[in-house]
Amino acid sequence: MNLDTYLWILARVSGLTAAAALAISLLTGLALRSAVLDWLTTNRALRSTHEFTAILWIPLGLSHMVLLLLDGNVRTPIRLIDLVLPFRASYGSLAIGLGTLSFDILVLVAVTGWLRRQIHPSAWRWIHRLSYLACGMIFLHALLGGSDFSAPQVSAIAWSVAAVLAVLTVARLLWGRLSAEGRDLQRGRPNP
Amino acid sequence: MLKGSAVCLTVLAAVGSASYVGGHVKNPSAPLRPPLHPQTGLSAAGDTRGQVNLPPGLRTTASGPVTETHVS
Repeated sequence: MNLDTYLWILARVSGLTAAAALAISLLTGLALRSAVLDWLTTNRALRSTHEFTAILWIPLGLSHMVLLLLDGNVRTPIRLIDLVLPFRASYGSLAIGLGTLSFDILVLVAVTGWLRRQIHPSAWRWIHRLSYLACGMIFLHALLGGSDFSAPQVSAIAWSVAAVLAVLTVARLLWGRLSAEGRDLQRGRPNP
Repeated sequence: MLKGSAVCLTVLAAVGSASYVGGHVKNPSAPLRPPLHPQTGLSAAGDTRGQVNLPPGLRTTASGPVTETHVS
């Protein structure tokens, strides 16, 4: 196996792993707002884990992009600028551009998350809500451009995780945070 | 504990992905097929057309196809 093939494999592995880490981030974020994991842990621990997941997915996402840039096995016309500005690649521009745009948005969400105290709460909230859009675009990026997404082993897991996250997102949008009564019912302690 | 679980799940995803991708280096049904060479237009994900482009100066022969070797 030559170096380029090795880089190609690593790029795909880092992309799939970044998606998994991002799914965990989204799950903990949704749980934080909807209280669906209140039976498991406290909100403080969830918030800490949600913030921690950025340390997992950002380096993985960056590795995915840099490894694809370095891969010389395929003369991929991906330039350095394509990693920052979306829809400029000369081939697969939609699939690649969706990945670039979602990465840009998620980095903005992560950075504003760390600077939350310096930002107006309403502005922070609206920026943070963009992460739902970014995650949807990442799913489309994987669907339209992912070399492994057509494989049943990968697509079965990806579609299942996406379905769970979609249901939780819809529940969060429709019902917001569970009431105290709902949490008591979840814990098996009906409110008297 | 939650952070540990998140790390474990990520590592598990990495190991699973590495195991799968390592066994399937080329995927003929990959949606994106960047050109291997801009002039020929051959794709990277495996060219399944089974066509060979012969140069115009190549002469053909009336001999039968070689179906066995000295060893076989």
